[in-house]
Amino acid sequence: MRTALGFAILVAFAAAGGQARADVVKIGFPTCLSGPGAVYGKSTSNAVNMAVDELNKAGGVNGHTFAMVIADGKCSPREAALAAEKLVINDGVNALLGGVASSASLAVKAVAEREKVPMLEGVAGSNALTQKGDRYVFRVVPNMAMYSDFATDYLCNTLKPKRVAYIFQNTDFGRETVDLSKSALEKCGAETVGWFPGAPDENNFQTVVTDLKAKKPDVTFIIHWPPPAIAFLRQAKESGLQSIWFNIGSLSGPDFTDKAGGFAEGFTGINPFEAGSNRTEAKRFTEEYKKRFGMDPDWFAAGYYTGVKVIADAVRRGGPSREAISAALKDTKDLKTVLGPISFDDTGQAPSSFTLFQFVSGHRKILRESTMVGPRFIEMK
Amino acid sequence: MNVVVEQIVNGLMSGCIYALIAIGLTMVYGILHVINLAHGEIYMIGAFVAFFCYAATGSYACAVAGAVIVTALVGVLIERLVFRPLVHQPRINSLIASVGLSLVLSNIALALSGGSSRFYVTPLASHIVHLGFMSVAAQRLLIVAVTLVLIGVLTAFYQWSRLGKALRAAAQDLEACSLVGIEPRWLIVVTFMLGAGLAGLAGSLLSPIYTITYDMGLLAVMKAFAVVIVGGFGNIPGTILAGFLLGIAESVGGGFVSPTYQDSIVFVILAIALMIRPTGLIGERVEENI
Repeated sequence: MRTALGFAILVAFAAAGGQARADVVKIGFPTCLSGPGAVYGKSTSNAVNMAVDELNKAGGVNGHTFAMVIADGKCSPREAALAAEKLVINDGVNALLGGVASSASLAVKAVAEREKVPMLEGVAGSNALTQKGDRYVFRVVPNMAMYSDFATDYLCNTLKPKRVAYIFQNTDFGRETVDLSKSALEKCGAETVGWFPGAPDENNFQTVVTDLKAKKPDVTFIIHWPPPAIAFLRQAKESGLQSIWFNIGSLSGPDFTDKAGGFAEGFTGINPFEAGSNRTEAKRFTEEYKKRFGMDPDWFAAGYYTGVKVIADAVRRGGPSREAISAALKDTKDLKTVLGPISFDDTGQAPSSFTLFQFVSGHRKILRESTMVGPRFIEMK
Repeated sequence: MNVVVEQIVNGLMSGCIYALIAIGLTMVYGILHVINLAHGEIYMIGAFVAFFCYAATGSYACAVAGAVIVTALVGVLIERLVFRPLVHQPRINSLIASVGLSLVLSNIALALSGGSSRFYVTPLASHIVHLGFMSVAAQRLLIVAVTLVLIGVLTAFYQWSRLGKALRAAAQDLEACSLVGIEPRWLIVVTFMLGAGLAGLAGSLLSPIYTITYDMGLLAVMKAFAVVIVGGFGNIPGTILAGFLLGIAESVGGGFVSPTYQDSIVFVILAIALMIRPTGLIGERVEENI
């Protein structure tokens, strides 16, 4: 009798414990707390914590509260995979966010698909992230094919460069960006006069600058993290190298603006979000972020903030288990977010809008905001 | 032709920095026979200290002085806290301790800087000097001038001063020095102080034209390591020569082949140098290899 009573009490406690754990939806985030992209580790961590605070303050979703579990993936594939495995196996997260850099996110994707954990990507653009047959990966920001279409349209029809150079980090993100842009721009008559892959933490561009001075590009792509990009811009200005600097997706936020502003007159770039946007949701997010952290958000912050909100919506419609979130994510339909209305195609890719900005007198000025552009799929082998 | 000359001048400037960082590395090796892999982090500390001193005082001279003093003190601390306790243990222990120290210092810098890069502009960095078809920041000319003067001063110091002679003697045989009344402990402290101060100087000279990041020391120490190997472990004139040689080779080679391969060029030269002159450019008797 005593044994049976003890067993019953144990079962009751275990059930209560299990219920308590199920009430908290844990979202794992292997961001870049160190490495050359560390500045984005800080802004993205701020943003996801803010999203979770907002959800919990509003009483959670169907009784479930949310908690972030943040790990350092260092924007490196090896470290991000280790961090993702720790989050999935040790911390038992219900869903994952991506690893910020494409190479890192591809490593997180491998863990997500293997362990059957839904993964929401809010920054990385590699086309390989959302492919046919993938079941657990969803992306709320553009892939490189979508970026390239928007960039090429602007470059070929507005700037019309004859000579283009490419300085880029030799990573999945860097290579995909410049490969697509190069082939598209060559089709509209732009000659490639410089091709400079480099390390993500490169600091000395003097040889590149000297080479470029002789080649005189009209437009120069700079596809790097902020520290190398700023070093390049400084050394280019010092050497009197002139060109229109152009970036896709990697240079955002006040950290880059404040430091590069003086060297980057005319610098032009495209992102899926800019803090100066007039869209209602974007304005509210920017104001709230600024109130909490004393600075404007970069688009990386907006991407993962949106990721958390999309996961919360899936929990509301499907429940907190990994399979339920994955199934509900597929059915996400026109969810209003900071980045615009989100739905996913059969590869897990959402449509996106774009913002074209330019440095004018040291400040970022929005030149153009596009409407939502549907997903474009490129099969990656 | 203009491009080649420009690349040679670029290489000369890189060579100055490589030499400044590598001298400290080779000095420590010369006396302790240990490679201090945290040397790159001292260079990083020099750059950060210069940044903060410049922000506080607005004087670049104060920034350089602050960087040299702080890094020299860091050198003394590192010797006292990390290397001295391991001096009688196998050298591999000191090498491993230097790897750990490197990680600790870069992570402290990461925590303090929040991962955000720093940069500042001094009047010399923004003043462009036109030399014929070339234009360079006055800061780069300052780097060359300071390095050349320092090479002269260091040569005179090692050749003629009492302390310099003692350091040379210690590099040859530390135990024999103590037999003739030279206190080896002080010589080791002075070596760490001088070596760290030179790395701090390099950091402060480069900081107005490079971006300052917590992980900038890693690539710097790798290049300095290659310079030390090519120049000969513990051989200061050889290290200076190797610094210039590698700086010019990577710049001109990078310009001719592709800047993408400029880092590889350094290590190809390193491999060739190890095959042809394994004891360094200016050959010395070496009893054992690392």
